[in-house]
Amino acid sequence: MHALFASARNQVAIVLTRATNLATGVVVPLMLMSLLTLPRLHHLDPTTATAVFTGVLLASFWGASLWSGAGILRRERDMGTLAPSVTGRPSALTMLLGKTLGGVVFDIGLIVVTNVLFVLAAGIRLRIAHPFVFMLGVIVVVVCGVASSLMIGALLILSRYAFQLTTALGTPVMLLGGTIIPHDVLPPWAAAIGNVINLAWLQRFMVSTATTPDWSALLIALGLSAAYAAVGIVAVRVMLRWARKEGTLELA
Amino acid sequence: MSWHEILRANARLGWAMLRADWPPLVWLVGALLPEVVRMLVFVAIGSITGGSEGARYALIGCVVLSVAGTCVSAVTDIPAIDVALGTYRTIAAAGVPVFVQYVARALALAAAALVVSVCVAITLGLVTGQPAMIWPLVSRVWMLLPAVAAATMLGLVVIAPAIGSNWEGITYNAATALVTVVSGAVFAVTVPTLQAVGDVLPLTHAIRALRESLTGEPWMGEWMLEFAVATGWCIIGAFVYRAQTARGRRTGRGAYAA
Repeated sequence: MHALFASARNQVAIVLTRATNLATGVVVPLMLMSLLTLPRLHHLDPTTATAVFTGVLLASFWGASLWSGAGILRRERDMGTLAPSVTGRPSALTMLLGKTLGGVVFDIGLIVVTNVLFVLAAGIRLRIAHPFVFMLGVIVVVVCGVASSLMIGALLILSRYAFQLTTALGTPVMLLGGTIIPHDVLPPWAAAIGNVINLAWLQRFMVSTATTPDWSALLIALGLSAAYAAVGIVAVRVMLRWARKEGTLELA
Repeated sequence: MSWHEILRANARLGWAMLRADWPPLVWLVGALLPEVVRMLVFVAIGSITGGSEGARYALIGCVVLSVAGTCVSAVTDIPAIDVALGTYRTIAAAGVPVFVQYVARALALAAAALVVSVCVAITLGLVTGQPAMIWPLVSRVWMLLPAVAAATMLGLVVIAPAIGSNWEGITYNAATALVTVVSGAVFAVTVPTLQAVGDVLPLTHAIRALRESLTGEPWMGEWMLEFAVATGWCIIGAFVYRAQTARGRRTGRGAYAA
């Protein structure tokens, strides 16, 4: 546990020195909030505003987790620190989980602060009928975010085109993930694809906190995230085998 | 080398770098597809906030906005790579200003941006159920030339103060986001402050010109204003790179840091 939190603190210290996190944690949420609220600022009801708030939180977090959380392993490899990071006394998975947790907490914190400041500046009213349930939802977003970041980061490092694939993954999930674009405006087949993305179920739960919490959506989000984490753990093991035993990770 | 040989060499280098960094399949999956989907997200936002009329409005705007991903963002790699490889000081010693060389090197990206626009027009027209809009938009892609020029100048300008520092990533992201919001591509900007900012940034006037052309209104005025914006950012770029080069020579920082 000590190693987990030490890795998390280490990652937060790293991202604090990287201005790129301001792009994903400040610039993107400001842009999305502007696009989704400014055209209808005078007739935006609090329930819709809450859906926009949580949708932008999740969509921005997706972008941030791709470039920040999921980029952890890629940067470790690029900076030449991957070997010492995965060969220390704590297990490689503990180190990676800790670093991902640090990155996810930082990103979500930054996005929430940006969204709140935008809402206050624009005079937008939100409706959250169950504040504690809403807070629980934010915590679950962190947990599910760690799972998806772990999976994507571990899968992407197995490809030599990790950077290009990162850009390729960003927008399709933003379109299909049911965050800023509700599934009911998409064709049914597209919405069906979106249903395998945990963000879609998290958004349903977060939106439901404005009225009656949808606990089944929360359970499905957790179940999907557990599956993501399992895939991530397998990918980490493959990565370790390529790095330690076969020595071919640099050729990936 | 004469000035035209230097510019031709830079244009060839830009094309070679584009092919090396983005082989066709990788470009298709990693650049074109994400840009098309990003524009689809914006058209969907237009539909959510403005109904079917909002979707049509955003479709026209997004055909122009789609050049920003390549021109404002990807163009910033040109000086960033030069600085990272330590070649900035070499090209600064040539007889042609650095900024002019970079404009020549960006020509390949500018051409790629126009290809992206055509693909966006065709794909979004089909996917959003507006096929009648495809030909009117594709046949007017030449109208984006001043927008491509202006966006390229902006990309080169915004990265200049940040090259050699830790702030490279945020400059072009912030510039692209600002252009997305204030250009009127996705929704009609009614806030006077945002309108004023949009008027001096790339794409705004080109989007207006394209809309006016599609409705049969006079569009030349707005189109010429986009050229004026491109010229303005070109002049700023020339000064910024001159100052950047002078600072590098004097202090060894920024562009001379590598």
